[in-house]
Amino acid sequence: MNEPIVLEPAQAAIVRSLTTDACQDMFQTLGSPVVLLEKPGGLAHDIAAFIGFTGSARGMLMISSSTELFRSSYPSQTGTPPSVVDLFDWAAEVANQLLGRIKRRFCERGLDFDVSVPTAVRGRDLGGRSPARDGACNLAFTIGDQGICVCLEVAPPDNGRIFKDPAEPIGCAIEGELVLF
Amino acid sequence: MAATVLVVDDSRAIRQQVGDALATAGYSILEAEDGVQGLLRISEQPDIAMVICDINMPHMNGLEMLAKLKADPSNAALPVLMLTTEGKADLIQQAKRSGAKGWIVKPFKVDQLVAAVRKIVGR
Repeated sequence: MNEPIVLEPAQAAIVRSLTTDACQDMFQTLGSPVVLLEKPGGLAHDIAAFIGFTGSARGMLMISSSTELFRSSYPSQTGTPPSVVDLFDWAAEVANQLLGRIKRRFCERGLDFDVSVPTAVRGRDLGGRSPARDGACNLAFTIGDQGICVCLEVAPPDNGRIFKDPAEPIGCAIEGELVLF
Repeated sequence: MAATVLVVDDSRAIRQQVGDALATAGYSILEAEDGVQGLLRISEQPDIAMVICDINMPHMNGLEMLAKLKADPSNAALPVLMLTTEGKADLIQQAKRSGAKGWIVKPFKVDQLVAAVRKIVGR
């Protein structure tokens, strides 16, 4: 049987580093201190959000956390409590904004992709995929007293390399940047 | 009379966040969930002063909506601000060529958004 194709270790390390950086940048906007955990998994999460991407890189991002995290970080100025549907929607938007940050970091290394529309589901024990798929980047963080898991799966090309060296960066505006024409 | 801003985004949370910020600043808000619904709202409501539009949406994305809007002479002057997680320079240039007034990469700061809307709408 053929061995499954996985990213080269150095390439997987770049993916992990860029994803970790994007997560820390994104999650600190949710309002509490962010800590990267050494071991993912074991977290009883009940909301998960998914978003796919295709282009020069193909794959999927999944995040999972507790209802409480999405409720406490829900962006309402009026103080109106969010409904369950609102929380699904917000979880999907967090996945969307996180993948936007990952995309910008990939673009800095010359790799671009197109992002799909995110979706969210509710369930039990959604904290991470077990066992983790070969080559997937699995991370876990705490944001305040709540946990969040992140799984980024990148489909490896035949040569196991997604980033070129050297790579021509692709120009991107950064998060929060306003450009008026 | 308060100027009316149409917020087009498939995320209800973002529509609410933008709507709350602009309502607090004195604007009236209309919402649409995608480009198709956005164009419908514009055809139904001739008094819309400005559109804030996401890019990645189902059915019709924001750049398609922008192009269709600007291709209609009766709506060509309606200002559009793109609000999206996308930050690629070529997409920003595409929006500029299509007639958008500006581009904000999510997440946005409320003060920054309100200031941009005031500048674009002129009130």
